[in-house]
Amino acid sequence: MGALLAVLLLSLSGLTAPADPEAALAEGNRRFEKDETESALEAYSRGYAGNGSAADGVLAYNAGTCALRLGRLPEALLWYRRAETATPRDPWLRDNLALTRRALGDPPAENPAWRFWLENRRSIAEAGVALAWVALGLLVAAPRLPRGLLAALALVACAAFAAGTLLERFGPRTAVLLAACPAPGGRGLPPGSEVWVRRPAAGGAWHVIGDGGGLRCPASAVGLVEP
Amino acid sequence: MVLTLLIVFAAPAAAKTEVHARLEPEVIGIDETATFTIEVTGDSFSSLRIHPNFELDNLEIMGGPSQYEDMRFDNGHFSRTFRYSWQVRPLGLGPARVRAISAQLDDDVRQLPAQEIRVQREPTRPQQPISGAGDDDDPFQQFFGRFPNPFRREAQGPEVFLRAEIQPPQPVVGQQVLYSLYLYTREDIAALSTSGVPTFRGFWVHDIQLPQQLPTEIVELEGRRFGRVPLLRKALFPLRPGRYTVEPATVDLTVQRYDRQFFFGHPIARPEPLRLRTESQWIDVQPLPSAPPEFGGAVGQLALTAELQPRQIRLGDAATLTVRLSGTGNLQGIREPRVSPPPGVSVFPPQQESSEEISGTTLRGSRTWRYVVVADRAGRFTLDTPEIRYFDPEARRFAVASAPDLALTALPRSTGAAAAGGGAMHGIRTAALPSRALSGRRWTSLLPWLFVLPCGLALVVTLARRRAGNGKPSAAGSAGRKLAAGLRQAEKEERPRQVAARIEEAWHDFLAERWDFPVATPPSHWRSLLADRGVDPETLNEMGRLVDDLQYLRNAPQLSATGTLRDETLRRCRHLLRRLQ
Repeated sequence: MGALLAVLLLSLSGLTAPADPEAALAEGNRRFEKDETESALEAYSRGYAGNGSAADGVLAYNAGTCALRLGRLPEALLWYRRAETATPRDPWLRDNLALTRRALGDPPAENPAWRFWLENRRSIAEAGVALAWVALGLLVAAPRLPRGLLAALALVACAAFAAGTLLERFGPRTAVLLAACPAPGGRGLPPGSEVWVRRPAAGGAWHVIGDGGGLRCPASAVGLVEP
Repeated sequence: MVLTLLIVFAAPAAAKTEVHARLEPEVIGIDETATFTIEVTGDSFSSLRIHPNFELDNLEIMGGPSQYEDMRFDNGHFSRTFRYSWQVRPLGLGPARVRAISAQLDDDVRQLPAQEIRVQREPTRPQQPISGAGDDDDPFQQFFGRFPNPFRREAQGPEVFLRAEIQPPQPVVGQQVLYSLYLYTREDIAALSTSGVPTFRGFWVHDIQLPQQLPTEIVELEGRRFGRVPLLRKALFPLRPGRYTVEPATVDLTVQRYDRQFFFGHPIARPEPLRLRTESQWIDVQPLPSAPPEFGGAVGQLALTAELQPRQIRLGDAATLTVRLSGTGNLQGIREPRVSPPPGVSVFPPQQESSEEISGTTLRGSRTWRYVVVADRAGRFTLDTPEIRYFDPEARRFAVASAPDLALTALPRSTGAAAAGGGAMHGIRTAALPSRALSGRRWTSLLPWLFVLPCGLALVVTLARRRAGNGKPSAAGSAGRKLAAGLRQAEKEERPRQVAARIEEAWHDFLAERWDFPVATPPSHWRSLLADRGVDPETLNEMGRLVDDLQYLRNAPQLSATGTLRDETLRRCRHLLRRLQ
């Protein structure tokens, strides 16, 4: 039964695997030149793998530009945010992202209190790795160093790495609302809102955290920036 | 007479009281009632009032208790009867019983056997008219014969009916029709459920929610007052002209009726299930008059607003044109208005939102389109806002919803932005940007390995050192073990001077081997030499105290008690060995 499930999952993953990025980029560009914006967007999104590569950045940027031309602003914002994770210093991306946000009327961005830790979770894990290397260096180069110091250093390294990795794996994710997320009392969020979301254990709707805390959005209304 | 009085006044002494309970009849139909009676009989003048107690299974009390008291004096024998009666009705089919029956008479509590009857689906006796056979129970009628009774109801069906109202009955295509289903009643309604609703084929249907507490109004029909309750309301929008049937609506309800057959006592409630239906109806949908070419199908009373925000932008920035159509009527299916930008301005396809709400019994809708407007060159432009034609069913004519034109000013790009090339909307990229470094996600995927690697290396280094220590003893380990052995030998000595000598000898060897002390360094120099080698002050102080202890042990009188000091010195030696090893 387990083997069957594994085969099924493998075949499914093969079915949903992204197309070759270079081929998808070329296909999308060809369609864009023919003014077939919708199918160009499809081609770019097919090639997007979400692995943070440079090709991913361009595919996401182009998909965002297509969505912008089609007037699908929240979708454009989502693609630009995805491109931002891969190529954060791209000046064209910066301009178009700002343009999209303005066109959306600068919808509210939800800022949870512990946003600093969420945003820097990768840096925290990287700091843990760096400390582990420092501890190794001291262990090799200074054998007479008090053992407590090395142990403390190793402990801090482990804690930082674990915290960063756990936040990365299981912590809240950045997302863009593709549709309005209504709530009683008019506390809902409009499309294009940039939020942090957490999936409930039972699946289904996403929890918005931060100022819009307690809000639950259907999965169809939430686009994750980092899939 | 005297004898009688004697009997009467002697009675309390021989008082005999009996209590009985009965539930009858033995079999009843599900819609019939039974009577539960507790009867007390006695032959004394004392009170026969009881406090009854009982529990009901599959029964509930409908009325009561009614009380009955009787006193008789026959043939010199006095007797009294006191009776409580309750009308009970079954809750379901099968056995029904009254149990745990007790009656408290002054301080005497009598327990009575449980009474049981059977409930069946079929009635056990023919349905009796409201007035008729039941009148036999009326003692006045038995005595005076039948005569007109103003309080008695004549037999008739429940005064309750359904009515569906359609307003307007002859709408035009797209105009809202309000369908309301009303219940008219002069009865108590115990339960109600809508079991059949028309399908409304040929209409787009929007439910109108009714409040939790259904609003009841009193209306007069043919001189009789009825309570009118809305059960269902729907907003219907005809899709095509023609004559459409609205099927009957069906409602199942239970009417609570009251039998007032007994002259005395409370009226008895009797639930009566009913199914009510409305008549089939027609809606005659009229076609719209000949429509102008720009007409997109909007019917209602609509208004259009347009807003441009901001009205002044720099080249490369975007403004948002928000067009909002709102009003009464069904706005679904209205296509986006086409905005024709002047030369030098680009307008992107809009983002669309719609909402609907019920205001009273009328559907109000709104459609909002947001266009991104970008200027291609600096200048002042006028945006012609779109017009939307609609049909006003009240006025029976076509009308135009429009908003004033909007002005957009595009300023040249700011110097800084122009230099940076920023702010403009850029097109697509045709090739991937050169990747100069590991981008975020790739780097992240390597992190676990980069963390595991130093941990593994540290483990390898530690294990290698351990293995080296086991195979070839290190200088420190070897010296430490020798010192420990010397201390054990010193522990065996009894005389303090020899203990001091053994300890001193062992420390000499250790310090020479581990800390490279010159051979035969006197103990007084150990502290300073260790200080030169960077040993921490606490250890140095401990070493100083050890040297003092050794000095004392060496010079101690032969017969003095030095056991405690010796043990203390050895303990200090071992402590120092751990720190200096």
